Amino acid sequence: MLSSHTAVRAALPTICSFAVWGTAACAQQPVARAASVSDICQLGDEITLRGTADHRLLSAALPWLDPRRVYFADRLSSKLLVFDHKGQLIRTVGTRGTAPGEYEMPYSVQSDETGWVYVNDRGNGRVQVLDQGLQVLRVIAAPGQNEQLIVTRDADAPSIVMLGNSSCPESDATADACLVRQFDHSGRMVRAFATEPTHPVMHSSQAAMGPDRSVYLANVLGDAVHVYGENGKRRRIIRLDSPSMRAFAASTAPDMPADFGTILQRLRDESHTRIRSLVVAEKMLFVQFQRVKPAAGESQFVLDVYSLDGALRLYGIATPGILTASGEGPYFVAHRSDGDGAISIRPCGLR
Amino acid sequence: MTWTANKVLGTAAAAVVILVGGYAFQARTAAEVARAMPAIDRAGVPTRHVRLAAGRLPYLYSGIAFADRSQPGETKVESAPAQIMIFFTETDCFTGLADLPFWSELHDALGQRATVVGVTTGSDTARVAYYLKERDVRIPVLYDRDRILFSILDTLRQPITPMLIVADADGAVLRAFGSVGGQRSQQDAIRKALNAVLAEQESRLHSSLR
Repeated sequence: MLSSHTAVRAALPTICSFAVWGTAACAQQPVARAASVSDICQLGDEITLRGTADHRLLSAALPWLDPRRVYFADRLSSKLLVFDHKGQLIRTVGTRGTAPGEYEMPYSVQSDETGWVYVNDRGNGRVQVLDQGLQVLRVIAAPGQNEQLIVTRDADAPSIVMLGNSSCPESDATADACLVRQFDHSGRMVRAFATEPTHPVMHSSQAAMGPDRSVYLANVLGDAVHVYGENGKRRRIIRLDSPSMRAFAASTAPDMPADFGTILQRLRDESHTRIRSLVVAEKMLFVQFQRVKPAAGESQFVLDVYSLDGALRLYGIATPGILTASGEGPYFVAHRSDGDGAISIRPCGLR
Repeated sequence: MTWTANKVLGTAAAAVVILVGGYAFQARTAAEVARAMPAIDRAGVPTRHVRLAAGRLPYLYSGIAFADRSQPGETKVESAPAQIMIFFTETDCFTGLADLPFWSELHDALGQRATVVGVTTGSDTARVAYYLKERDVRIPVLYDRDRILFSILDTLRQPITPMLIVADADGAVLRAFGSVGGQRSQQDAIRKALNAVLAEQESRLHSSLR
């Protein structure tokens, strides 16, 4: 259901030297330019999920926009909350516990084309797969503190990627907590790979899956996206060197912070930028930064757009929330923490 | 966040000793400030009295004193040999959530030997109450709206919560522990260290009574 990307591409001017005008080389030299959200998105109608006194929406998890429903893994109550597209809570599923159908700090949820629902039951070290009626179909063991769940929607080669990272030691990228694990839909682990030694998957890494099922990984405080192929080998490194990134270069850590204590202090005390999300859609890589303690007038969330080969195309796009994507396409999520909490979803139909 | 805490505490410890050695915590001890602070329980109703006692936690900032030693008479907190304060915010960070049952275990296990209290901040006590209820946290919690106690973390240059601080009866910080993300082996290490610190404090208390 993703919209055509032709408009996005058409909006990207190219630069050509006089000598190579009209050649292939010319066409491959795009000029990056500053952009606004209207350059990339036709914003859709907002969906607002509202918490209640019994089910406050205080978790920072991202809701999953399904064609029929909106799913939200509530980490605090250990329940799966189900909303309709009007934002009404229509069902809660599960409770705290360890049995199938019970959850412990479910961290994220996704669904696939068949309507199956995949819950990253992180506290129990597993993925629970639910049918359309939200009954448990299977439980897939995924030991460790898996922070990210990616479910591909390729019906021919379905796969589930779990990314463990919270306790990944800086000194050992091959440690169990650092591994990227890939499962098929039957729950069989088909691959587990470690990232490069110089690129351990550190706390709160961001991940996305490309059209060829490459895994795009970036450390939250890093300045690069590392692309790993299906075989677990790193294919390339995309350096994030946009004007919007450089604006915060003085307070942004290198990809492998030498002194994480200093970095953490900066996180608290200083204005800085961290990578907030990665999304691959329409053969583009969307890298979103979150500016913590932005200066007056600056947007908190800034989006840059790269081609998948790593060329910067658009940058400095102020967005109305955190960019994420489901099978319905990209959308922005904004959390509101006052009262019982609320979460707004704003679909981004790519131009 | 275990590796993170370890990294931070490991790399920064030496610097912290230099930075904060001899620091007087706003001319009052943490215990004294805490005693005067409004408390909230898990139902969000203020409780008038939270008894501060002692607890011990592992290693990393051992021996850093924040008490104003020039006025020791002001710093006694009942007869407890030590006190444990767990600084937290109501975030849904996995490692923080995973630590919550451990806090209640400490509270139950230490009994009269130490009082375990949580310290939180923020503007919405109802949120905190909801958080504690949903996660079945059973420890008393101090509401540090003005971040008076939280300034300890600033002084430690320790931005991570949850953070468990052990202080003696005079309010001197004995130990500080970062989140262990629910990992049993590290919880056991903390228990062991706590027992050692408590035994030491109790021994001192008995000596002073002879």
